[in-house]
Amino acid sequence: MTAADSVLTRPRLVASGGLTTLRRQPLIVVLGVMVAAFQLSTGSFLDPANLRGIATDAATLAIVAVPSALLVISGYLDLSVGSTLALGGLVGGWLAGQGQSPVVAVLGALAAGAAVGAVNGVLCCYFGLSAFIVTLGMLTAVRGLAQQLFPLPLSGFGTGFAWLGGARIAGLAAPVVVAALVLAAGALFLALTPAGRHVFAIGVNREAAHLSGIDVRRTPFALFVITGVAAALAGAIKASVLDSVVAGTSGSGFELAVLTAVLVGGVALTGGSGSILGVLLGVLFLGCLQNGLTLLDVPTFWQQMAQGSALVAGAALAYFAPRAAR
Amino acid sequence: MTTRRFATVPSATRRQFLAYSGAVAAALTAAGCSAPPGAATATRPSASSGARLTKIGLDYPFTQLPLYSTLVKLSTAGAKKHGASLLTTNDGANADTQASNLTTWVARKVPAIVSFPMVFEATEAIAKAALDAGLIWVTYGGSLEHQSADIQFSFRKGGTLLGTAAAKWAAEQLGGKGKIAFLTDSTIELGRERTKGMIDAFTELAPGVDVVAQEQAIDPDTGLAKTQAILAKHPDLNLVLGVTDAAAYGGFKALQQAGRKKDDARTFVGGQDGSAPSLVAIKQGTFYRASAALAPDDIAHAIVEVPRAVAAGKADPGVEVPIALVGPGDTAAIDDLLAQNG
Amino acid sequence: MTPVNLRVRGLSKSFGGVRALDGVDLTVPMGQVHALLGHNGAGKSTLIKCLGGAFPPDAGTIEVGGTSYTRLSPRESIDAGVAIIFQTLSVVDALSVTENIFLGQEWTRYGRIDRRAQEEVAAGLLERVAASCSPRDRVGELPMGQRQLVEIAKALSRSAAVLVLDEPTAALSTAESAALAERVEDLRTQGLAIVYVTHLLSEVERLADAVTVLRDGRVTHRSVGAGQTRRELVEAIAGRPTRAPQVTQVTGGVPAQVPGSGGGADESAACEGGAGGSAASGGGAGGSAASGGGRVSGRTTAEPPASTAASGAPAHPSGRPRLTVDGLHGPGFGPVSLTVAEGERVGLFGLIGSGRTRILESLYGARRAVGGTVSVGDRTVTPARPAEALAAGIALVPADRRRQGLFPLLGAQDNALLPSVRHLARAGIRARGAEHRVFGALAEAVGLRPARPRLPAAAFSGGNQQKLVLGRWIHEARSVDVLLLDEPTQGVDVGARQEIYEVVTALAADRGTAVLFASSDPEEVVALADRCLIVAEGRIAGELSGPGLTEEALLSAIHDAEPAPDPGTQHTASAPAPSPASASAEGAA
Repeated sequence: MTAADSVLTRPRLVASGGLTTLRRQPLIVVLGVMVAAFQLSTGSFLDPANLRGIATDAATLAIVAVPSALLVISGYLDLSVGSTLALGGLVGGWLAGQGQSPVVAVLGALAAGAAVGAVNGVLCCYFGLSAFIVTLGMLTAVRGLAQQLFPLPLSGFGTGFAWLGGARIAGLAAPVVVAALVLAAGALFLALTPAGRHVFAIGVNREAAHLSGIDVRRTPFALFVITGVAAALAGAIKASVLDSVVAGTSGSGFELAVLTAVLVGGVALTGGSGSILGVLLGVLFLGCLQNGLTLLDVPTFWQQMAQGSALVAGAALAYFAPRAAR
Repeated sequence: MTTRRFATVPSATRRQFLAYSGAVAAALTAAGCSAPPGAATATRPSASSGARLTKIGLDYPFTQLPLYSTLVKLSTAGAKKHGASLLTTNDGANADTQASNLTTWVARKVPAIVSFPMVFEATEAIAKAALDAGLIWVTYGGSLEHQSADIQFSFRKGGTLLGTAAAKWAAEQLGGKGKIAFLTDSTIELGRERTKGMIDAFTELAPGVDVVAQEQAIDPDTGLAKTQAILAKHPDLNLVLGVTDAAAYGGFKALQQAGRKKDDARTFVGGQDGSAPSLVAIKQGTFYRASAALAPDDIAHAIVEVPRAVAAGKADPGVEVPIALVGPGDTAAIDDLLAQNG
Repeated sequence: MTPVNLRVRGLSKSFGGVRALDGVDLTVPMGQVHALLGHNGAGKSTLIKCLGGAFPPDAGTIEVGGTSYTRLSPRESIDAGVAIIFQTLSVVDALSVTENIFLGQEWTRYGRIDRRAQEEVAAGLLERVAASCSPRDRVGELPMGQRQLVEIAKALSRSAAVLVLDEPTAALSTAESAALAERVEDLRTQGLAIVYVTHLLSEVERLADAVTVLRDGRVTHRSVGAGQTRRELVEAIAGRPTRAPQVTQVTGGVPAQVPGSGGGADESAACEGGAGGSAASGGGAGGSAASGGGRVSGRTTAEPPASTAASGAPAHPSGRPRLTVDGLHGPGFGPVSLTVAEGERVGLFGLIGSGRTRILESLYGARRAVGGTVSVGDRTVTPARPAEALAAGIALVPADRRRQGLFPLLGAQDNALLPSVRHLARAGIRARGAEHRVFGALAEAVGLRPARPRLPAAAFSGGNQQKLVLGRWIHEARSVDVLLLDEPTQGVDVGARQEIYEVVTALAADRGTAVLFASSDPEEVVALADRCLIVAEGRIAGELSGPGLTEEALLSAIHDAEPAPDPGTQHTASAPAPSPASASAEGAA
């Protein structure tokens, strides 16, 4: 029943009727309670500086989580984004370090991400291999490629490239603006385009979609490419913010963070249901949790336990709440 | 920016950085050079007699680290000079993979094995088997009961050097007052040693400075996120000391994003390892002011020469790779380190 | 007196107001094979599922081996000794024969599975059912007949006293069917009470000691011994009022749920084209009257009708061919040649496994044909993918709704309009207003209940789900020239079934859509088809139309075309000499 319920949330744009949305996205309540608790106990959680930090932090996650969520909705998944992120950051940083213009550097990064995504997409959508296996393999292979190409850390990318991670647009950090655009694009895609509907159809019942004349390969393939591009963009942003990239460690574990945000946000791993609003909430949930625990000076291992438990609790609440609401 | 924020992060990631630090215990004295006394004396005489060694196996588990590539490149060149070839493993920071790779090497009778055990206790039996098979076993980054020799690093010393330098700076620039945050590691032994050296030295020498946070961070993303959170609570933070240069570099970026000028006179960031981005920042005269650095040349030299010394029957063939603090004035040393990395 | 193993009394069960079982009695003594007959939807499955504990009955008792139950859980059913072998077997392909037999009741020794002992016992059980497989064979690698025997062996291992076989030969080859018949006879002599569900009268004649016929949830015929004739049975199944044994109340099969259907429908199951057409809509009446004129209501004629149409010459007034298939063949079917005229409804009637589905899927491009051509109007299209078929104006409503048709998690509107969202869109942006309007009109046209666009399809009844899948191809934004339907009313309740017939009939009449549908239900063929092609072994084995298109004729036709378990009539469909419905040769144009 839960699956059916979450489907109902799908076509809405981010703004939608209050109570219904609350019932469908109990994570909003969880998030609200968490934010209130952190603010009350630390006193500085809601400071603009801290919120900016969280937003900047969550931005890269959101940029990758949106297309990843679309992939999961269509019944696939991409575990290779952590390595793609590293490759994108390295290529972008390297080009910038070579004196290329920031635009060329970013385009280079995106091209690298598109290439990885295309390989994933061809193998999963056209050859029909398991997305889990293919992208898990690519996670390792792309990491190896990145380390082979760039065995040493890169740094010193110049002021032009730093704009990507550091600029302010209307008071918001550039990555936050990019993330907002990606979120809006994802929501509009699902709500307004035919392909957005097809994503759900393919995820729910691929064979029925095929028999309905829907191209069940092209749309997921495109999503793989877009996910690769998004991961590379996130990598370039991280490289810009840190003004350095290390091939071996950049973005390691990122794929799990993305998947967690997507799943906590109510996207079903079995495909066919989920919403962009949910993804946004999942991303914010992770961002606030990490930040708040640090503010509270929780010792390392307790932080780990608290993070793990909070994730499970958040997921459980999101899962059970719709039932209780009936 | 970052996303690594919960418990699912593989601990391997953490270990890599640790090891980065551990690995790096090399030396750069103020004179800074590629012929540190310990290594040089132990190994140079063995050159001729050690020539019989045709293969040296380097088992360095943290293949993700930039240092790994550097060490393999330098060691391969060093071995080649003596007509030997360098074998490597691909452990991928996994202790189980390491054990199985080492067992394979022992079975294949690789004549000399230089291994950095991820878990020392777990490697004891393999080292014994290697010795029983008549192979040379050199322990890297510590010592085992069964071994031919070892290559030692003083992890705590790196931390102590950094803590001392920071305390001295705080006394001079802040009048002994201010706020400090430590980016620490408590997940593996090397990290705990470095952390302890750093914190103990600093708090003892600068008791007037408030310790406002001790947060686990070994990579730049985490360093950035944690420092951002700390800054939200303590916008007037003065010092950030990192258990790794990578984490400290994240703190360096967080401070800048909070509006701190690159060369702010009342800010101090320091780390350990001597990694390239940090060295560049120090050289540029930013508030990234210190790194406890190891010289890859020294380590690579030891990797080749310690086994050769054992083969040549030298007494006491082991080496302790020295570590030294580099600061803004050490331009030559920094250039030398950067050249070795490159 | 033989002890009675199974006695069902007054069993009733309703689903949401629809009576699936209405006071059914069934008594099966030890050592008897009791055939259970009836149309799809007559209540056989519901009865079986009540026996197996899948549904609790609303009223009545089930007595197994002397213990009486008002309701059974699946566990109690097994413990009581009831074993049900469903058409879709419940063996696990990845496990060995032995592991399947002992699944859930493994023998252990010191906490470990005692493989040797299990295999010994399994070998004994396999011998008892005369299976040729070994206990160690992987079930997934066995032919269908052997898998079925494994399932029966599994039932025996649980000391079953009552064995229910649900259309056991539906998926079996001729030889396997014959072998199964021998097994059933063996098991009868071993004292099991066997309930044998089938469509095939030849199997009844060969195996059954007693027969019960269900129709609309009631028993319409009950006989013991070999006294019954085929005609009696067919009449009982079809519900002809000529002679209604024991049960007087033989209704027309279609409760007057549908406004306008009443007059024609309660006549009998022969509420076929003419009646349906007039019921569908005012506009449809004229067109279907023309088609209805071609034949008479299927009121029973004394003997199977002798009339058959010449092949390729549909008994349809319109005549302009809309769909032309020439020599289409592929793995397991063909060559098939046929034409469907504008506004004509043609049935493909045959048993499960006869190749009906394969023919439809090949026409639709969902299955690759090796050779032959498919034309719509004058264009030769021969689609290789469903998208190509749709572009050419051919649409398919598949039989397996769950797997191939429905998007259970998505809302009703999505289900009905997904393939058309792109057509409705303007400049790549969905026209949500138009979508909503089209859906509203469609829901009205097909009588969707409830007509809620966002309600997930999984929440609809089978009939309404089918309306959604069917609706995909017949709304104003998406009208197809050729509509292929595979088992159009499988798992659909009686009321919705009638509505679907009406929709399809009206479609053919109003828009001239050529309808080609496959069915294993003679009642449905009579109700829906202008003309029917008999399919056997992947080919067209005969044709019925006009007054000759009756349920009796259809049943006779497949029994003759059918490669019967009875060795005596084991000729293939290519030579159905004695068939009254044999005029059109297979493959010949």
